[in-house]
Amino acid sequence: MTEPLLRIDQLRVRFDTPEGVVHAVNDVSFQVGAGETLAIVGESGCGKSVTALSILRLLPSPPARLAGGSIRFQGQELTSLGETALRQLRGDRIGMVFQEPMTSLNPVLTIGRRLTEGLRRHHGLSRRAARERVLALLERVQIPDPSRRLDQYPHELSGGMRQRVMIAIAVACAPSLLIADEPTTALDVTIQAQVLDLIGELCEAMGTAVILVTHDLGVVGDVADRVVVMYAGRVVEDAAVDDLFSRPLHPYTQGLFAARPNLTPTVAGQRARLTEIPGMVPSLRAGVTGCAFAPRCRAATAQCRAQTPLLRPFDSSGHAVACHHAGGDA
Amino acid sequence: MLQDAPSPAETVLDVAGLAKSFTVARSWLGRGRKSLRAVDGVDFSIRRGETLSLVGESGSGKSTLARLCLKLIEPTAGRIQLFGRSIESLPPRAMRPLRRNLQMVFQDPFASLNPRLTVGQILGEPIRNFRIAPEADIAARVEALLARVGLPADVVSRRAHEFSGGQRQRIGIARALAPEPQLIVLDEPVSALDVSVQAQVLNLLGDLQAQAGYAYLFVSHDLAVVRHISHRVAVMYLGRIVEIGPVERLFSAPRHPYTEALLAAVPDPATRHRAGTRRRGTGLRGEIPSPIDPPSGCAFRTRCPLATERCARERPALMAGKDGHAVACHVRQD
Ligand SMILES: Nc1ncnc2c1ncn2[C@@H]1O[C@H](COP(=O)(O)OP(=O)(O)OP(=O)(O)O)[C@@H](O)[C@H]1O
Ligand SMILES: Nc1ncnc2c1ncn2[C@@H]1O[C@H](COP(=O)(O)OP(=O)(O)OP(=O)(O)O)[C@@H](O)[C@H]1O
Ligand SMILES: [Mg+2]
Ligand SMILES: [Mg+2]
Repeated sequence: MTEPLLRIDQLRVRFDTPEGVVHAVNDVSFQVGAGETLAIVGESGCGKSVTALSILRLLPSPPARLAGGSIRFQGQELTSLGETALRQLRGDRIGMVFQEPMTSLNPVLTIGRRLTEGLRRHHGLSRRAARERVLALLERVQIPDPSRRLDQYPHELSGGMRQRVMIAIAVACAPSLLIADEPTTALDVTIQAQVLDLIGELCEAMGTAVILVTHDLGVVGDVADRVVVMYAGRVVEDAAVDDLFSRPLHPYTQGLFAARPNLTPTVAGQRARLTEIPGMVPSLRAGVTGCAFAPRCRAATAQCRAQTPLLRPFDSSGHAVACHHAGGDA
Repeated sequence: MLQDAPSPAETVLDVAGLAKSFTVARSWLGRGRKSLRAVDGVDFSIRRGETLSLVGESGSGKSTLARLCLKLIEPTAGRIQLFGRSIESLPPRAMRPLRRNLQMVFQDPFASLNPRLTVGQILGEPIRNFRIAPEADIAARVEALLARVGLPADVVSRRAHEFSGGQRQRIGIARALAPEPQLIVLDEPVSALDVSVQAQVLNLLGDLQAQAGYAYLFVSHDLAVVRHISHRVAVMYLGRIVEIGPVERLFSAPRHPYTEALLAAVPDPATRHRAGTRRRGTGLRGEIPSPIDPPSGCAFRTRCPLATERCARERPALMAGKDGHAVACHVRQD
């Protein structure tokens, strides 16, 4: 078997806080193939961002601590890589886009300065050449009137425009992997559609793989090839997008689909009650014994409360699930 | 759950020609003052037991309209009738006793609940202020309110920060119910909640309405949520209603090109699953223009695939069609 672009194995991240240790990411494993779009979904606090940020070691440490596992990118182990080598990867072979571009764009630098800086650092371009490249980039992310934007500050742009600039920065060096953490969550639905299309088109053209962190199953269905569903710091299901949508196996994944109101209700004209997932997500302050979803799960048994289910292949299509009762006696 | 249209006698709120302008600095250097029409001539009514939702992109004026209806801000023009009584020019003193009928639930339950107060104090205050019940009965009232929103009675002595987002939103809803209002304005009440908790709160709102006949003015940018909770929907663009109608009609047969574009932009797991295809390129070009210098004629024409020369000249009026479905579009209303 050939090595995937990115392979994460048994990743474990802890936060050491005055109130105790937060078990934010627990034995997370998944892979991303070249050119593939992988979505990580799950509710607030389930460890999506911590997982994504761990890849490039972008978490503040302390309090964050890598407590185990391996991250291999293009055959290279990242967890033991030196700071300088890691910085070379950032913005060159791996690009990043975050939810709120305002906080990741330096407010006192013009858009032009911010963009040319990276190009000159990574590629040693002259000021003139970098400016030319940047104009081309802004055009590529479909920013109207790009030469005027170069002299503007981040706050003078709309949220959608700022996100386009972030995307321009992230893809400037044609990375092999783009990590996008809720890139459209703060945007209106029409602008969200534009930005997702833009990411899709650019990455397709460059053969860039994408890790898309989102809590929106609709977005997942639109853009992902594969999906990893997280709950309480663990991967509970991993599947090709069509498999996940046609046959969600984990009770939590099923619950997510059922709880969400649809634009096109299955029974026309009737507004049924939504299916609630009772209770709420557990605190990650203490390690959880058994399945973390058991207290909210209708199918939970004594086994679920005693023994943590491991992520295991369910069928030969690569659909994996972490549930003692998946597919059968649930 | 969809009821027949109630008689006009059951109209709770009726607004006509409602408008609000803000004076803003033209540029961030502060040179020159300009007027920004956040709400620009809006008509609608809400009946008892009915949910009217306001949708539209950020900056379209949804929150401003909601705050106008509550008289939290003064209208620049227009009429607001509560149970047939004009309240737009009532002074605060005369407004006070009417306020108990108009309550509000906010997006961020955290920010809207005083962290120093216990849940008992938060819920007791409106009961006392509006003299809903004698002092001796307040504790029992609070307990009953908590039961209605599905919280155990022993939370009365706890403070807001001790609760999860969903629980805090239940407290926010209980506070709105405390003075036994007729109309509850909910501004993005589930936007900050995870889907599993969102379902709990949406079900609760539906149950409460079925029990007590509250009228809801529901502000949201989430069209799937809107489809679920509403009886009627108003689509706003740059301060105006461009389409309004019964929820089923508006979603299954939208008439305004903006409504069509909004619906097309929503990534919907259900449609995707059935069609098995990806949405691509059905979205809207460009962004919402500045409300300081809105386009002439129809404000949507700069992004509209159907725009004609007439659309730049003439502003389309919201024309009522059949079944209370109205649209403001030259191309689509002829
Ligand atoms: N700096 C920190 N200190 C302590 N705990 C943290 C820190 N950052 C994150 N955590 C905890 O780690 C867990 C995972 O957080 P993470 O940000 O990955 O969630 P998420 O899935 O991205 O959620 P959201 O959808 O809200 O962004 C949470 O329980 C969070 O409280
Ligand atoms: N107090 C104010 N002063 C000046 N302008 C204001 C004020 N309040 C709102 N606006 C402007 O009025 C317009 C409508 O704002 P409003 O908050 O009503 O929009 P919205 O539809 O609720 O948007 P969102 O979806 O972002 O909440 C915007 O252009 C906004 O900037
Ligand atoms: Mg996150
Ligand atoms: Mg608003």
